[in-house]
Amino acid sequence: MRILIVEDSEKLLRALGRGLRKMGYSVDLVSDGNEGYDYARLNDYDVIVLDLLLPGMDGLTLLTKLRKLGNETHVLILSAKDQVEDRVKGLELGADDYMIKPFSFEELCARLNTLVRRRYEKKNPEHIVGPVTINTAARQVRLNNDIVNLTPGEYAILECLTLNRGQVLSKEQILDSVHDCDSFAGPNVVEVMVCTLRKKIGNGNTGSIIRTRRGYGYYVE
Amino acid sequence: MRTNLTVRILIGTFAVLLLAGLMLGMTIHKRVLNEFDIALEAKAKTFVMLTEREGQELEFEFSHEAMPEFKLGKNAEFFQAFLADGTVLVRSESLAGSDLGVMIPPRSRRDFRNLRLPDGRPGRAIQLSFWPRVEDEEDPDDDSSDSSDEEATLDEADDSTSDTVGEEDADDEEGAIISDLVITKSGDEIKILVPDGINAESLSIIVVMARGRQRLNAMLLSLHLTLAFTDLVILAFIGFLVRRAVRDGLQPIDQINEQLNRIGPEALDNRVSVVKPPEELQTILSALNGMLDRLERAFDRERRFSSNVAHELRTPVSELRTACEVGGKWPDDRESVQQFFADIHETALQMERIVSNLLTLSRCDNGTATVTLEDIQLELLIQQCLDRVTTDAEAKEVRFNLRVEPDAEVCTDREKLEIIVQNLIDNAVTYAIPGSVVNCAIDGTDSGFELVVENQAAEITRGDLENIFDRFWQKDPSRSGGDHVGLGLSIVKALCELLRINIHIELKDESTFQVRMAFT
Repeated sequence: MRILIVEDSEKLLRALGRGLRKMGYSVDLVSDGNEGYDYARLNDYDVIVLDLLLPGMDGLTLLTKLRKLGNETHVLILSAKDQVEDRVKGLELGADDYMIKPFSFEELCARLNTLVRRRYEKKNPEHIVGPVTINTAARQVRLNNDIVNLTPGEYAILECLTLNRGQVLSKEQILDSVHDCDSFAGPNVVEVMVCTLRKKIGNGNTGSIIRTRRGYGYYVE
Repeated sequence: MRTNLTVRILIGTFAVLLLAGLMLGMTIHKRVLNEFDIALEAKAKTFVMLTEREGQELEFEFSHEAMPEFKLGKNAEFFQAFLADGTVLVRSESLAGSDLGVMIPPRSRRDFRNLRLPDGRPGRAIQLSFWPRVEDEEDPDDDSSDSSDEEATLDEADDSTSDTVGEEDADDEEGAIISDLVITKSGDEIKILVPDGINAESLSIIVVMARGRQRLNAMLLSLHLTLAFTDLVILAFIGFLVRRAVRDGLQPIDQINEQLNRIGPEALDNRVSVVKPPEELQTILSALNGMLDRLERAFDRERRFSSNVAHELRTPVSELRTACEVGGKWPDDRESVQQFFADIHETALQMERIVSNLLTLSRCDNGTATVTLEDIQLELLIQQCLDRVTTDAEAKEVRFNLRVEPDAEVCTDREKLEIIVQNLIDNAVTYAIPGSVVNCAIDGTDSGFELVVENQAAEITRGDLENIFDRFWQKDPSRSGGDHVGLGLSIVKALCELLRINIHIELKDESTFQVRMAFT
């Protein structure tokens, strides 16, 4: 899943970026308001984490402009402003959630997760595909009730395919959702990861819930 | 206070009323008595009519039928006639044989005194000395001259001050002849035959007349009682009015008191007001409200300060927290963890600086900051401060221009002066337009030295100059974080006040930000 973080503290960007990547997200880090606006409208993110006090363009202005464009990306405001009126204002301008600094990293992840799920309009976090059950809230995958150990990257691919169930996603698309702009991985990485994934949740290259559409990409039925 | 006021007014009023009452009472008393005496005298003078001297013969004719009041009875009047030596000539029937006192020799022609009448009643008597009137046979119809003669006699007797002296002489004479007088009484008539050789003209008669003064006394009593009662009523009435007036007058103070009681640190937005305030209170009210304004602003500043402090610490704290949480969650990512430790350290140092700044400010506020004086070479100090910002300055391509008066020296606290100058130079670099020049100068003045730091500033406006020393005030809040929390200039100001350095800020040509510090 793809996340954009717009935050002016370099140290916070570093820590958050590292942490969320470890969680399997594809993360873009931006420290300027104007830059953040450009990134937001030019790329497709699942969630944008937005600080309010930014150089260039402040957070609320960015949000308002984004919404005016018709951009529906979920936005989680992360700010030191804790007053009720600030929170209400943020939500009224179109944010989907509001967290106050300092914050718990775990809580941030849980809330981001919710927003991602919401994008795909699945209130039920459990997706059952054949013998495989994917719980997007718990980020847990079971094969016939046995928990399967996936790396974050593998989980990300599976989740991406599951949430876009029925849709064929190209290797590039899958790559976008699991790696960020800064990484230099190529589409082959996707192939390798899908292969490993299939081994873990299925019966090798055939009889796996992940299907291949030659020339186009992968999908989950 | 109002009791005091009321009591004082009442005591004063009481004293005035008492005095007035007494004076009025005494005056009326005297007048009334005077009227009584005039009537008494007028009556007594009628006895003069009863006397007659013809040649050597004196006649005194008195008829009880003509004057029945002198008969025995209730509320009788009394009279007694004497010769000058005290020999009783006539007694009124009412006396029943007793005597009215007589003063021999008389003190004056006419004398009043109080006495107890023979029947026990309180009374007042007049003692009148006179010569019997003379019947002039030569001119019996000449009433006017007769009466004027009589009056002349009486008046002369009254007015002449040598009366008494004359009287004594007459007495002496009379004393010599009284025993020679032949007094005969027949019915209502008393005849006195004066032997020849004695001057009958010099014989005088004393009449003492007394009447009861019960009615007079009653009237006087009622007069005094009425006056006293009226005084009390007036006093009571005034007391009531005064109390009302004082209470109403002081009522605004009660209102103010009540309102003031409701004002506390949580309710400082209240102001004191009074409906239709009296003039004297208006100045107090506006002073009070002015004071409350200042207090409210001060409290607001304090609250905002606390809130700002908390706020500014939030960002570094969240940096620490997230770095720790993420680092702790994936401790095997050595590279990241190393980076996080470095970040945490840097953040901690920044927070240390913020805390240190706040402590400095706090100490300046409390008056517990200490000042150690020493002689300082200004050029050296400034150069050191400039050196510390070289990296940042180069990054923005900001250059320095330093002009120094040689051997410029000041005597002040070194550490604090360094903080001041460093802050000013840091500020200048941070807000300077990239590529511009920051001017530093030490100039000599009449009273000492002046330090000037100047930079080209794009964002500062004239209106900002008012707020620039406020704590946590920043032109661009998004710059917050790291070393910039908006305390720099507040500290500069507080320390300048402490070291008694005169600091002046100006925006020259709309874009040159200048700070001047005068050392004396």
